[in-house]
Amino acid sequence: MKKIFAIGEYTVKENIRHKIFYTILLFAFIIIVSSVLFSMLSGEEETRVILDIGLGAIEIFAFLSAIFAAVGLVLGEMENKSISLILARPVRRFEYIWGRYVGILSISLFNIFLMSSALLILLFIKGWRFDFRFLLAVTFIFLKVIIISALAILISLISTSAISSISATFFLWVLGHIADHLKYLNHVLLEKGVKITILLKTIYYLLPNFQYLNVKDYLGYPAPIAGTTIFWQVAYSLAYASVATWLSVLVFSRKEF
Amino acid sequence: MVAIRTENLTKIYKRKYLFSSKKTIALENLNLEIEDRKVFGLLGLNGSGKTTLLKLLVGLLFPTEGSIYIFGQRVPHLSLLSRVGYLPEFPCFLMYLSASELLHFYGKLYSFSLKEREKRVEKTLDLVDLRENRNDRLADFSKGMLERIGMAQVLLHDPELLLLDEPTSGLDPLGVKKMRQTILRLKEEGKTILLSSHFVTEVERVCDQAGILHKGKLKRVIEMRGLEVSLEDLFTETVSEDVV
Repeated sequence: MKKIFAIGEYTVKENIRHKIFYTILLFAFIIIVSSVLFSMLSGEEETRVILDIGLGAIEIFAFLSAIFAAVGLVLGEMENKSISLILARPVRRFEYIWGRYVGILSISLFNIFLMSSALLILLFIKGWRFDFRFLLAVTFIFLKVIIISALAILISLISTSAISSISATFFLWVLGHIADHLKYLNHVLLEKGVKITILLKTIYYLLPNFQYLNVKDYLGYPAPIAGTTIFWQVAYSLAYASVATWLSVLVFSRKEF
Repeated sequence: MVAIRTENLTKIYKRKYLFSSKKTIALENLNLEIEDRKVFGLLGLNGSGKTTLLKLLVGLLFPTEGSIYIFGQRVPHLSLLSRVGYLPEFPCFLMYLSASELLHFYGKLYSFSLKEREKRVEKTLDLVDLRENRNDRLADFSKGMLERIGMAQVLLHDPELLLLDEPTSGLDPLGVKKMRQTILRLKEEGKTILLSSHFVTEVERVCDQAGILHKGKLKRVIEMRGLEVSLEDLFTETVSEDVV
């Protein structure tokens, strides 16, 4: 565990010493603060607009930050061969991957905390009454980051360039948000006589279902979120991320440098 | 005692293209024995398999066939890596770290305690004359300083076996001299050193034995003591047998 945390710690250091880390945070803050301007156009729904834009910005920038860390740092280290000076020491391959993953999640959590704090301050200034589900929404953004970071590491180990890794991860992020539409697509295709149900079902179950984790959509509505639903959502995210990370370990343990 | 032993070690690189694949034999049936406390120089032209052999020894590459033993234990063996120091030909570091941070990070990978790390980092930085620059970021280091930090990361855990891939490549004459002195000092301390080099004269000056690798095959092992002909002539003769 010590080695995993040592690699995690240097991943965090690497991140916070990179200009892109601050650029991402700066843009996030600009968008969160500018949500106040958009809220002025909406009359009585001011805080609702700030919440929507703010949480959207947190999600997008947390995603960007995770992608940068996962693809930029892991792939970068393999490309510039500095990884060989780590693996030539008594470090197991799984320790490297989990260490990197822990580091990426730590920095993402820190990012989300900073952005959420800024959003909360804005909301309180605007007279918003605290809703516990805000914390739930932010936690679920982090759960999405847990999944996408694991996938980004896996993709960066398989692909050959940063651009292809980022594109593939982005593609998965988008597909993960529209995975439910595959069911509808299947229905439409069946009506037209095209039977690719097995293929569509396979894709549906393989893709991360981010729509399932979109708790922020329920914020502002009175309907409560059931505890069992939350439990299964958390379990789903952790299980998906664990499988993806162990797949990364499998791929990585066969890699030569 | 034998420090390194390879048995029929073969490494074939397989490159896959869209409609074809290509195989390159980097090492072929290599049988090599290096005695403990000796300095062994691996000579060879570009692409002769020197770097491949060193990477196989530290587990960065996996053998296609054959086996490797270091201090009697079969590679890969995680605990062996605590006894080995590796310097790649073009070491690339985590440039956003300072010299001290880098060595502390590597120290953590050996599970050294903070106190132990502090002691070792100070000692190692002293050894490579970088104590003054301990808090400078590696991104601000000159090439020579980076070479020295490369040597520092090799020495940090006081390994018994040092694998140095072209340790003098790219160094200025003063740097070459310092590197030679370091290798000779380590030899006196009883370390086993396997170094690869293009420079026959460097190998001649510091090594007890030299091996000539050519096209993945170990063509000759030469005892330096009592060698009556020049190593350069032997090397040229060996590699030109196939070239001509």
